[in-house]
Amino acid sequence: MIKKILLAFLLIVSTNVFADDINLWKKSTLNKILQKGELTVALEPGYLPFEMKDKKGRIIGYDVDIAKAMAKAMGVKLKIEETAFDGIIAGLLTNKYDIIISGMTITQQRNLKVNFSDSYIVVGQTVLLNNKLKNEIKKTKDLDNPKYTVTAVLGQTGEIAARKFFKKAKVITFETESEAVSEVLNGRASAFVNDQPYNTVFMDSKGKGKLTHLDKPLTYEPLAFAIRKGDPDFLNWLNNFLRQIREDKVVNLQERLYKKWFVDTKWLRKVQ
Amino acid sequence: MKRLVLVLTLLVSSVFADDINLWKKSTLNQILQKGEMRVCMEPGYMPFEMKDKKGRIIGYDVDMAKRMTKEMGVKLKLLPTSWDGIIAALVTNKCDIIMSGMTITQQRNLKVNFADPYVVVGQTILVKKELAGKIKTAKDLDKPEFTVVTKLGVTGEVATRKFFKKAKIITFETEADGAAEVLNGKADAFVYDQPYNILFMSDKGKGKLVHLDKPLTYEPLGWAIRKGDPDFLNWLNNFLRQVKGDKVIDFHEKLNKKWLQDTAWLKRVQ
Repeated sequence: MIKKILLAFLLIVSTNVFADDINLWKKSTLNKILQKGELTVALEPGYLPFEMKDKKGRIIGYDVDIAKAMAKAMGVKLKIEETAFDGIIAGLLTNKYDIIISGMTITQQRNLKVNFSDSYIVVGQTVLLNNKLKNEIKKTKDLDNPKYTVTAVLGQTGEIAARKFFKKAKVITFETESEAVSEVLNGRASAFVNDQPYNTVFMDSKGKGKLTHLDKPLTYEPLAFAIRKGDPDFLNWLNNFLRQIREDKVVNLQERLYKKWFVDTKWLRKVQ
Repeated sequence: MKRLVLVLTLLVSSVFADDINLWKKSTLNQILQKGEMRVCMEPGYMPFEMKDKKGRIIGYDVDMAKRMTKEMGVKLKLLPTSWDGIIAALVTNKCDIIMSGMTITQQRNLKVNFADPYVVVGQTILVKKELAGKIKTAKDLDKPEFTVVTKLGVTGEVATRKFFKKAKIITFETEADGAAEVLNGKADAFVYDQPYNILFMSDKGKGKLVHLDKPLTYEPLGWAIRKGDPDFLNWLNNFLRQVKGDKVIDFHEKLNKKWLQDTAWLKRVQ
């Protein structure tokens, strides 16, 4: 009995000798990634230009390039887990992968379930305007008039933003981006509200010369990596990694990626 | 019955949110209990830490460590530690923190955690004065007719090889040899750490070289602590924000001026 107590006492003392909570680091996802030699990333291909499939079915995009740079900096292999967006947080919580890198907006609701790194890019809702209106509409506010019709995609941030900003204008929703924007192209509607990256890409292809992009975002949507709660060591690594790829102008990763996926549109040919 | 109550109270105490053990084991808590903070540094990286003529360790990091312990209300103990064992010393609890001009790298960050950067350094270029009119940026130098020198095996060489694809590159064992090559006209430019180049320009390079002081690289310096200690990290980042943001005391600015711009301290070490 005495021996047992002594043993228990020793165990308690010995674990307490170490400073810091060694278990926290042992259980950290970062530590497990290093031990496995593999980083598993969840994303849902379908959110251009962050993640999508090329003609050959390979997943490409801004997030894929970020994930590759991340795995390289850790010195481990990269595994991409294709995951439907509506189950992507549940999958993280049940340990199916290490991190979500899938153009996910930091929202206060999601942040109740997962932790977010600093944001790696900020997007927002912008407006594509029929060219005929470009002289009378200079800013979003000018559109909020009963004589104008604004389109958006049903159930997405675009619809929420459209209904918030346009109380007097008529708001019509569609199932897909292409239907909603076509309404403006063929002149049945005045303007289309959607994610800035989509609108930028659209202006480089079908919208060129026909639409005007009011590119000052209506909303503030910071995109970030999501990880499980209770893991400060992984978060520290991610935020230092983000700072480096943003500020280091020798490697210049963040700017190069921005140019590759948002400014140039060469990649469009790979997916269409 | 009393025992049962005791057990119950014990159980209840674990109902409290947060991991109280995390704070108990935090290095910050242990520093407070010991009344002393142990700092690992390698004196030899000017002007962050070096020995003066009397053998005392002085520098940017020393002043920062003094300020930090003053805020904590504890004593400061400096532990000179060789660079190649400095992370191991921290991980095995020989010290509480590394404050030694350490660049935050993703590889180091796999073993230790870093506070936000307290200073950002980078590689800058010293150019021959005759070229001052022609060479305005690093890009202007990247031509086959120019020779760029740097120190072998350090960040300077990595940056030089990345930036200069066409120019001729020569490496030297020491930074002094590299800079001398430009001084005596055998090379056109020298790439090295910004703090060294600033010192060089206030001394031997004055009137002879021109400093292109826009850094080529991004090297954030941060304090390293052991993993698993979010409470210490929280304190450090709030301390850092205060010393940077408080313009009344203006501690951070004064420190930058004293060690990175003025060179009066040079007389103390030479």
